[in-house]
Amino acid sequence: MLRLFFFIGAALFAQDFSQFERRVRPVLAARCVGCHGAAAQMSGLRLDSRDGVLKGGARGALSSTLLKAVRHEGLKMPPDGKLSAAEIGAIEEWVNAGLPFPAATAPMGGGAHWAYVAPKASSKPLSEMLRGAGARVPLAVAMRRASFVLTGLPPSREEMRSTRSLDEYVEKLLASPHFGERWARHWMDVVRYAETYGYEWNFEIHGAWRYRDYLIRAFNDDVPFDVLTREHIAGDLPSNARPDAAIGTAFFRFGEMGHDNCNQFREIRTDVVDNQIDTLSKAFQGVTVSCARCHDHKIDPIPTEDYYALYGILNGSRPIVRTLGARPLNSLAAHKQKARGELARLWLSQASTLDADINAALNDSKPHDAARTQTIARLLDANEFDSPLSALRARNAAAYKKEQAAREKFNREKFVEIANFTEGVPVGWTLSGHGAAYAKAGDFALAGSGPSALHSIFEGGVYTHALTDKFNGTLRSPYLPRDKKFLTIEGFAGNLGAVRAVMDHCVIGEDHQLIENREAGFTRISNKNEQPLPVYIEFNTKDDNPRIPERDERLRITEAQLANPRSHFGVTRIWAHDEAVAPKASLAFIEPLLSNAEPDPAKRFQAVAIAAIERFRDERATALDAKWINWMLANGLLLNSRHSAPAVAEYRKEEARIAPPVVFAGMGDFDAGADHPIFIGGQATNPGKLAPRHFLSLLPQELRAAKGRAELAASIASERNPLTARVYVNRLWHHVFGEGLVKSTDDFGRNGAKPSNQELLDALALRFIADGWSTKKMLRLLVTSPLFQDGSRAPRRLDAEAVRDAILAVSGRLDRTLYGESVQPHRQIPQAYRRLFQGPLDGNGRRAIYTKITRMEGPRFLEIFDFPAPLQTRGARDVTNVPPQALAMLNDPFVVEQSGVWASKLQGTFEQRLTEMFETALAREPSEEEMKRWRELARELDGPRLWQDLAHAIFNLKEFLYVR
Amino acid sequence: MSARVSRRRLLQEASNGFGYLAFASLAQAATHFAPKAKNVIFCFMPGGVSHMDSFDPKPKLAELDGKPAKLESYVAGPNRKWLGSPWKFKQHGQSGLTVSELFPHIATVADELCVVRSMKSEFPLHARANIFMHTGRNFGGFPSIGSWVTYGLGSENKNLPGYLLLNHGDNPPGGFENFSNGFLPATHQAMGVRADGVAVDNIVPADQDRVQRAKMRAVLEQDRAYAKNDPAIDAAIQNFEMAYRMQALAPDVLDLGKEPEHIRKLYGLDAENKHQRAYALQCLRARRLIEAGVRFVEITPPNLFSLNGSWDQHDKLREGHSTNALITDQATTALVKDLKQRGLLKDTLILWAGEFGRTPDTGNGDGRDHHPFGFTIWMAGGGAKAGLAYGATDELGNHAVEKVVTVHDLHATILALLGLDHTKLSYRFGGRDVTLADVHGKTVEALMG
Repeated sequence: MLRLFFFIGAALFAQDFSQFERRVRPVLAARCVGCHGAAAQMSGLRLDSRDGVLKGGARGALSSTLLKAVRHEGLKMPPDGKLSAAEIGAIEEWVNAGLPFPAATAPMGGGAHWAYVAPKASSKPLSEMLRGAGARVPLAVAMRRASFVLTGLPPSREEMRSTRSLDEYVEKLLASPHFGERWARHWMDVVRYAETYGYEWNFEIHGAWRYRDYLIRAFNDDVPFDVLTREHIAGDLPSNARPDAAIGTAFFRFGEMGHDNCNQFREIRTDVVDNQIDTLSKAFQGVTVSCARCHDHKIDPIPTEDYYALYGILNGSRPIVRTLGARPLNSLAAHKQKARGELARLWLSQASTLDADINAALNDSKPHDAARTQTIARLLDANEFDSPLSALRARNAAAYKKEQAAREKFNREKFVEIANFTEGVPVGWTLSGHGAAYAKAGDFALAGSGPSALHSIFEGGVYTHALTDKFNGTLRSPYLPRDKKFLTIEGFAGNLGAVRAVMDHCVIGEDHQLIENREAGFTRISNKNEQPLPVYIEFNTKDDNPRIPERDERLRITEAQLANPRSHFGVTRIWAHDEAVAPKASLAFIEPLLSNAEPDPAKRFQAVAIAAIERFRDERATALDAKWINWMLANGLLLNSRHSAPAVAEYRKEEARIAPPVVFAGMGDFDAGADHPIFIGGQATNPGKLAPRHFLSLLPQELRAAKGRAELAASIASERNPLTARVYVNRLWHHVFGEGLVKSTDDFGRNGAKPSNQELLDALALRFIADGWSTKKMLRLLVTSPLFQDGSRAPRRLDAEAVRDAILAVSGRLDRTLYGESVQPHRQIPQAYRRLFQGPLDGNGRRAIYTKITRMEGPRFLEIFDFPAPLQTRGARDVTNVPPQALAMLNDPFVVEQSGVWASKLQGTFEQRLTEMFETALAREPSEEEMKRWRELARELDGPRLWQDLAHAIFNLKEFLYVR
Repeated sequence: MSARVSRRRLLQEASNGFGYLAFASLAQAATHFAPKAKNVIFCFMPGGVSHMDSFDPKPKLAELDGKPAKLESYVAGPNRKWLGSPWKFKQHGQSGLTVSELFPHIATVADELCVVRSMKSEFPLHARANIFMHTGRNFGGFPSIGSWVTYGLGSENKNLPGYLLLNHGDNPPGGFENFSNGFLPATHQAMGVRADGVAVDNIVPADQDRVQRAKMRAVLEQDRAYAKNDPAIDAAIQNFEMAYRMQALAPDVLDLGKEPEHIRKLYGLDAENKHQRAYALQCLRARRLIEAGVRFVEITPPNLFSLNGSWDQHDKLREGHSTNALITDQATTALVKDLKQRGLLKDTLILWAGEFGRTPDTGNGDGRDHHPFGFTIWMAGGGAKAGLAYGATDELGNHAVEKVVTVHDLHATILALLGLDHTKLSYRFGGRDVTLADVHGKTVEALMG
């Protein structure tokens, strides 16, 4: 009825649009169409055309709803502040006039938020925009500023003496390896870098520090930011050129993660993805997409559908442990081949006397080898069906056939084979790591250590140790059907080889168990079938297993096992089943004995054994041959000693030099992915319709298409993306000048701060792109600008790392080594069960960036100076000014200790020492008045600790802790 | 003036100088409505105390003891049995509040307690539930309730942080995020005070006072010349001076030497069990800190039985709960009594709560598992209605069924007692005005006296 009325009204008043254009359109454009227009249609509503207004949205036809909403009767719109009375009045009049709205105008763009449209070129040259307001600071002051900004370290005395111009010094700093350390650390705040998952047990994020080193290298090499961006999002995909590109994807893995059952606690997974979405969107785009987890974004044009579209993209990748680089070249295979011949020769000779020993055991005749005869005698009496020797006793073929048929029936009835690796790797299963590979029957693994020559001869399957058990490996299933309760695996493992069920990508879930049998056998695991969540299984060697090191209370894993570089597994078949029983072993390997025509039992056995060894020698061995030889080796009928073959020693010599593989937590794609349902109200238990995968709908149309990370990377690292370059350039500006042109470095949305100078920001973003996304070029431009040298700037406190590193640099303790494993922070109370181990007070003199970031407890000294908790993107740290900072400088044992280190290195007269101290710490000489002041202090403090006390006092100077 | 005298004077400033007059005006200025409480002591019981063994009697459970249990719960599994409480319940005080023999001391102050038997949390896992109980969120990065309170009310004592955490040097699951200021200014972060060893990081002067003062004098002279009239440097200089005064915390506020023998005994500082002594020490310190004007004091017990909170008795319920009760019972009660006799209880809200309760059934005959669906907490003083047992779980102690109080509701109510409107106490972060209870939570007026 109402609608009809308006329709008629519109017809009457449609000709006059002037009131609409003057009073209504500006309001709609500025306050409404951002969320209800071309870019986004929250609640399905568009207000950029008359039809849209009439059609309404999820709440039905709109006219009356619109009036109530703007009057804040019930629904309150716009959400970021009520319209003025005049604006509301204009809309009321417009509605009453029947919504006159010109039909054929272009969609309203006037309301588009500044950050969502492309940067505009400025007519002003950049040099003009980077002018300072006041006088320039002296060179020494500019140098200290530049040194801390670019490297996070103070300038040295030599640099102070020898440098002639700031430009010259900036070049030196940009080329310093410490540049990379400084800027890597800034970026680590953005990606919430951490080395443990936190939560209850603080599991390790494998190889996280490799990412830190990758960043340091990337910043030092000035890898273009668009390349770095692509590597972060999709560096594992083949299109990336740089060899360590895949490490970038560790970016997705630094969030907090729980270990509990993801079926019962759906948020363990959904929170991980939420954190990934949050970090990805803030880090690269400066938008707060995760606000749309439960409802359409209240302020920015980000509908919930965008959130789950992105969820679907990220959920299409598995969080996996990746291996860096290719398998090291080696000639282990050649040694193996040689050993094969030597072993076969030896075994054939040992087999040539088998008949004598079997006869001796059967008939008390003269043995060839008395010990072997005793073994044979024992085996003859063993289980009637499972030992080929006992089969030599007067059993008839019929009994075996009957038993074999019964076993096969049992297995057929109770088990469904879901994967068989004996002939190759089935479709959907994937391998990774240096070691994991299919190996056919008769291949084998030599032992790299211990008394044996070889681990075993393979029956055919996937093995990680065919070359060496120092190589890592993972075998991964496709998503598994979950109509059966259990999976049983036929295979074996050594030193912490494990099988793990991964539900809904919860990669540190409790469902993992070590494969305990070292020889072929069965391992049963539960197949999680409670909820329709994706489940896959992984077989991992130790290094590839994200659950290792295990927490205290589960699986008894020893330090020796953890330290051992070796680990392996082998898998031949997998079955699904409902009953908690094991399959029955096949008797097939008895059959050659039954079908052989030789009447003498001893010779019959010998013939089968020799045939198996010969086929092994000739690389024609079958699975049964492998089983025969393994059985004879295990039971001492043939010798398995490292002394048996000279090639084993050669193999070991080379094998000893194989370095352990480099692994890290990254991402991997193993299928085409799928669209994800919208979780209504953010509740995983309340799935709604599917959200087709795409990237943010607030971006230009051509950047929205994305089904996977490759397209996502391309959209973000695009010069047509209005946000990427701006957000990054603003981050650089923030670190150079202490505050971004957009103060809210991680939020460029409507709620974020407006740019203090958009013209400049846009010009810088365009220059950055034109300069090939070069971080160094942009920093050179900023740091050599007059604005940087402006004398009217307020002093800035050094950030946490700079405080600590400057103390080490000044004291002379700084170890300038780059890269490497992290050093645990010094702790008040270590808690080994939470993997919070004690570290040295001075961090071994390494820069702060090499301190281990354990999520459950951060590095205390750094935290006092606002080092952020690694939970979410933190482009701008807090800069607090609190008493614990002063307490730390006064009393922290680190500061006191370093004062002593510094004092011990000083030499010369009072004047010489004090001058050196001022120059080292403050980059200037002391004045006469200061010389007098410190001399007085020295007289007062006189004693054995005098110079340590003076050094300590200098560390406490604001001039030391601040940069002008 | 000797250094000693100087520190003594500082103590006076810390504990008396900023008296209630000054405080009252400070607080009034910041509150949304008339406050009933001014300070909070949060006795956090990590691991989860069993409600049906302490403050929520379930006779029906005793009847069914040992019989097969069917429970809709995350621990549901085969072979679970109902587990009656090993402890007997009795009514206490004029209010007739029922308390089990697990807490004989607390039972003597039954008339002071405001017991909520219908609490409900959302997370049966320690880390999430701990962070939820503290921040209203199930993941880190948000301010703890202690931080919100100091942010909302400011600190009365200018020489001490507003939020102190009296612990034993370790963090419960969820880590320091439980006590973090989140995105609030760092001044609102909890400062840990350990029972053993050095109480606070860097609080013990590295130098003799004479040396320290000489250094500081030279430093201050340099600093004043370094930046005249720069607000950040001025603030840093003030912090430097305040840091000096804070060093008095350890020898003065935390030093219990001046407490008379009968007070020391009241708390159990003479107890045989060293863990009981450690907890008593922290409770008595809490009172002294409240006296000194610290806004929010949180106390956690020593972690004896489980890495995931001392009350986390998946097995050995009798032994574990008895020992934890022994360690905490007397000192907690002493805190109530001592605050009362000093007239401080009316202004000081004591909150006693774990992150969740425990299951009414057992998988192993002598343990209870995590249970967020219904559990008990209590408050005392600070305007909470005394002698009240509010809400109820069902007859087996499983679900909160009557007058359910969510964690968000509890947070809203605590803020309301402090004169703060939980919908208005907000901080702009990530583009939103964020509050402790997010969009949830309602004040439970019935809990307010």
